[in-house]
Amino acid sequence: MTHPDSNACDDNLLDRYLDGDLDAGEMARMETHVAGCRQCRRQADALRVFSQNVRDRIHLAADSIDFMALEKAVLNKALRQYRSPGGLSRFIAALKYTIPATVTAGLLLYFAYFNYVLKPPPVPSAIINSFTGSMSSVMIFETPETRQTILWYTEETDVENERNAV
Amino acid sequence: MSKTIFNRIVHDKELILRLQRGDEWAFQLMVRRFRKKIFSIAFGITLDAEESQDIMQEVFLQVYRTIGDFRGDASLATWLHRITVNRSLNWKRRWARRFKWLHVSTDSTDGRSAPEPKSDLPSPETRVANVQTRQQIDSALRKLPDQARTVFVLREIEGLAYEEIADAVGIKLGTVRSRLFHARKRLKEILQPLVEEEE
Repeated sequence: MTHPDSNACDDNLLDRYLDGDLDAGEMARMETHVAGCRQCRRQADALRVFSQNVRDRIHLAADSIDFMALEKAVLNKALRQYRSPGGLSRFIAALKYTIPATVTAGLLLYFAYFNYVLKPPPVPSAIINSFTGSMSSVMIFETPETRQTILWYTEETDVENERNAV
Repeated sequence: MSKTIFNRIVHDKELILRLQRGDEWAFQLMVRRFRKKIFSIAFGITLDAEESQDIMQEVFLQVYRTIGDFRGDASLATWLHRITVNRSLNWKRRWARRFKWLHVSTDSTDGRSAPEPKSDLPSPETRVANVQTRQQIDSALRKLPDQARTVFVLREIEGLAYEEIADAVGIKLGTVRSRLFHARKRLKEILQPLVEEEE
């Protein structure tokens, strides 16, 4: 970094000088430099005047504003929000959560309906019209939705058919 | 009872607590305390008085809505500055998108002068101050990039410290210094012809 007392101009130091961001020693040296350097002095003055002009410009703009009316408008809007907790903005904000929740619930209901509610009634795995032989036992399993019957029987040989086959 | 709030100094901490409890008078006090500052920052960034009023209102309404989430990591003023800067820059971005087809760079060096954006100043008849100076100021500020102008306005106009600017804009301290440096460097270039004219 160029030292100000080396008599060279340093934009960085000039910037910090304008900001009052120099320590006491740097400030003293920079003031000496600016006093002797026409270019730095002119730049510093131009920037100071410009900043002051900008401040004046903004103050002038602010002076033309009716802040009391704006204050009233802001208060009215704020209180309207406060008094209508179910206002549009809150409703829209709530949609962020309700839409995904509704979609998820809908999907769950859809799968549940087709898997459980619309489950087809149980059909028999086999229909026995007749059998020969003696039944040894019958077991019936029954639930609210299903009914299963298991038959054990001793099959007798069909003698007549066997004879015909020979 | 709440009306007494206007007759004494209410510190930020108390103000925030009152705001979080939904105290109307505290809200009114906050608006009154910060309205001009918020407007000035918004105007410094947008250079548009109408928009700056809207931004100011939006800032306060946002504070009113979200004060419950304010954890107090930064001061109330810093929080307000941050919201104002964000809203002002967003407005600038929206404006730039909306009117992109109209935008002509003011940095042109081909000798043709770019058309001046519409000024929000009063009619010529009612102007009392030096119009030319105001136009030169507006023109010079418009030539600064948004980010550099924001930092410049917060520093020069609002007198914020580097740390406060860093908090308000959401950038590092070094970035604040470098943006300020570039803003002033650019301003020196812009002001150079005017300085020479005066000699």
